[in-house]
Amino acid sequence: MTRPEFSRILLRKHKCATSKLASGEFHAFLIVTRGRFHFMANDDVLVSAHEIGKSFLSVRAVDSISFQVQRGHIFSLLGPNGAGKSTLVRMLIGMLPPDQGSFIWKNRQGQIEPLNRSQIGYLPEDRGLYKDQKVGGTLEYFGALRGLSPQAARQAAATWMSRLEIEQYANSKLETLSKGNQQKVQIATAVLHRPDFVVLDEPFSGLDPINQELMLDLIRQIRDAGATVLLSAHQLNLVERLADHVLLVAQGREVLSGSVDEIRRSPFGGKSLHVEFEQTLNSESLSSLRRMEGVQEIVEVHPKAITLHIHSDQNQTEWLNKLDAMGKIRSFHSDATSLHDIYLRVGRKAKGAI
Amino acid sequence: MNRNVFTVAKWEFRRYFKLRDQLVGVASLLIGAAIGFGAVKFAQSSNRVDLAVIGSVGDLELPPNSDIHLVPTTESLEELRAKVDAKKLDGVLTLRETDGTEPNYQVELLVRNQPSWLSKLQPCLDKAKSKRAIQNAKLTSDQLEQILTPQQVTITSTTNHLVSNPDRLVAIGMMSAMVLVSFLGLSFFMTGITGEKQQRITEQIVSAISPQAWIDGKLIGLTAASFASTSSILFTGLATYGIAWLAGYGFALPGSMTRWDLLPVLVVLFVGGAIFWNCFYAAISSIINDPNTSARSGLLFIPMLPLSASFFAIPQPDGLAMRMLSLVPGASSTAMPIRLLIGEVAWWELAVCLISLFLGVALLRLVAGRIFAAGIMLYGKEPNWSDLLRWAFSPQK
Repeated sequence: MTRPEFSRILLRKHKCATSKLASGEFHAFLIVTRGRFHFMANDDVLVSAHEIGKSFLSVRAVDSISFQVQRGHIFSLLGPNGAGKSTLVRMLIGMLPPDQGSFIWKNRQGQIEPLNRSQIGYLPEDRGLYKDQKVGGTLEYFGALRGLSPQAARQAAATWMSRLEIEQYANSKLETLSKGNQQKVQIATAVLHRPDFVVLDEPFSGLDPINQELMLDLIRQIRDAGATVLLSAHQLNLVERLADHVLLVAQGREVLSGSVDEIRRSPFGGKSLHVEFEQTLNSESLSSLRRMEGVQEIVEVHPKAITLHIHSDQNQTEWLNKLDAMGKIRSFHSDATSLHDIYLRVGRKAKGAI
Repeated sequence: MNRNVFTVAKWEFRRYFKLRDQLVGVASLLIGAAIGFGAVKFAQSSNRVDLAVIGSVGDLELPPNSDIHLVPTTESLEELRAKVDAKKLDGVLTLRETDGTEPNYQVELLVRNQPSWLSKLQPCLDKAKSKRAIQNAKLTSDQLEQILTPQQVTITSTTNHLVSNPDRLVAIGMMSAMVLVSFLGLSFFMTGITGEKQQRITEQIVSAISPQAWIDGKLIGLTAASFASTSSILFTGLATYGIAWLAGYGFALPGSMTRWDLLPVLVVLFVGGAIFWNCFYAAISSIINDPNTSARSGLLFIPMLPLSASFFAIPQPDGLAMRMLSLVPGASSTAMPIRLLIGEVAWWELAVCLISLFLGVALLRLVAGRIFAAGIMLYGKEPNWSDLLRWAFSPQK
């Protein structure tokens, strides 16, 4: 194995780093900006965002966010309402110009190229379709807008209607379909042209659990077919099962970024100990528990049961002994902190910051 | 044409111009016209009026195809009154010679109700009275003709350009058609842009194509749809004329309707004018969130003012007002066609009109595209005037 060589160079613009990566001059960059580190490597990156910022009047909607989306990954963008996710997505796909920073798109050969709208599939959060138009015709129209020939658009529309089990509605007006089926048509309009990059903003909303699972499979199929997916959703149990990479934002800033496992190991992550005592814990015990080192949070499920969130480096057996000393334990089990709990903590922290 | 522009244009045209609906509309109107003319014809054929005449008919003459039939009678007035009451007669006309130095008649009419045919009888009675008066004056027939013939005026035009009232009606009709095209454009853009904004369609489209390509497609598609809809109405008018002709109510078409040499210029003026105002409708529609509550909705009716202003200038097609209007884009699409039809237009005026229209369309398309690009993505509070000005003069990013 060859020993890596490190060089320190001064670059003023992110574009310079990207072009040096694309040209093969460097294999990776460790970028230091305002005390924060970003690793940028010449692996199969579809798009790199660097220091993206956007303000609306006095509101800073997105504040210096950087990230990379790997080709073929499912990249999940999470955050509370008003965190700046939709603004970030709109800037990413060229609908809004950023006030600062830049996006660098690369083709499969690693060359920088401008954003190609026909290679993007977008399911916006605020969505709607022509309710007075027929389903088949609507899909063909969106296919044509995304660059398909009329024949190819017709073919793709038929394929996707069959895949989503709505082929019987091809000649029905959209307004006659159920909400769930309308949602399926909406999703088909975003992906029927086989885009390289699919942006799905709240794809599970309006779907029942069965159709949520169908959607889950569909997103995996899209990824397996070679597309890269950017997913923004509030159904965190589903996101957890899908995402290769998670970017958590709050108040327009990046809070956490990494794989689901990395996020769990972050200060917002850790372990959850679910304990049920024989008797109710008194307030003194709870207070002393809160003061113990390694405790992140205590949630009282009911008077005799608590969920204790501890840092990931804490020893579970030691904690079991500590808890046993406080009262007789009826049941105990532990798991890694869910994305849902991490999200709640981030949300609470963001609110506290306000 | 950009492929996306064509795709949008085709989609929008098909959304708003439904051939089947248009054909059903045209057929309904034609059937209505045929029924109407048929009914009039039938009513006229069954309008025979039988008038019993007491006394000498004398000089009273009715036209050969008159519905009124005079029946001399010797029956008594009481017997005739009974016939009128029994609806066997429409009336009894009594002509009594009066005493005096000159022979004259006292005319009495006995009817059941107010007679609708009196207006046809009255001129005949008047004519008979005049004839008697002239005879009393002992005039010769030549003298009589001299008195009755109106003064003839022979008009000679140095430009061989004489305008009749039917020509003016054609000009008004053309202006009305253009106003109709603009009205249809207003409604199409209102539902086509504000409606889509309300249905939250915009974001998905703008992620696929540029706002300028979208607005260009809409301009072409919706303008074509408004012309196609207006054409079907005009076609119905012409077909109605054909039916009227067949029913015996035909009249010669004015000369201005057969000025085919003007057709290319008129098409350019109409299409250019429609696109000019449709750009305006697109820009305003894009900043309206809800037409029911928006204070901006009233702006959409602004184009009707310059388009209709030409109406008041029709009596003087070459007056200063009309000449000014015919050079201003937005008003020229109604003013210039009127002047071309019933006025005199210098070549340079037509050139200035076409150039200003072309530049106006190009500029308004650009400005509308910028406002549209920003407006369609804006929900909630509507932009103020300074926002609009800023968008209008900032290039699209």
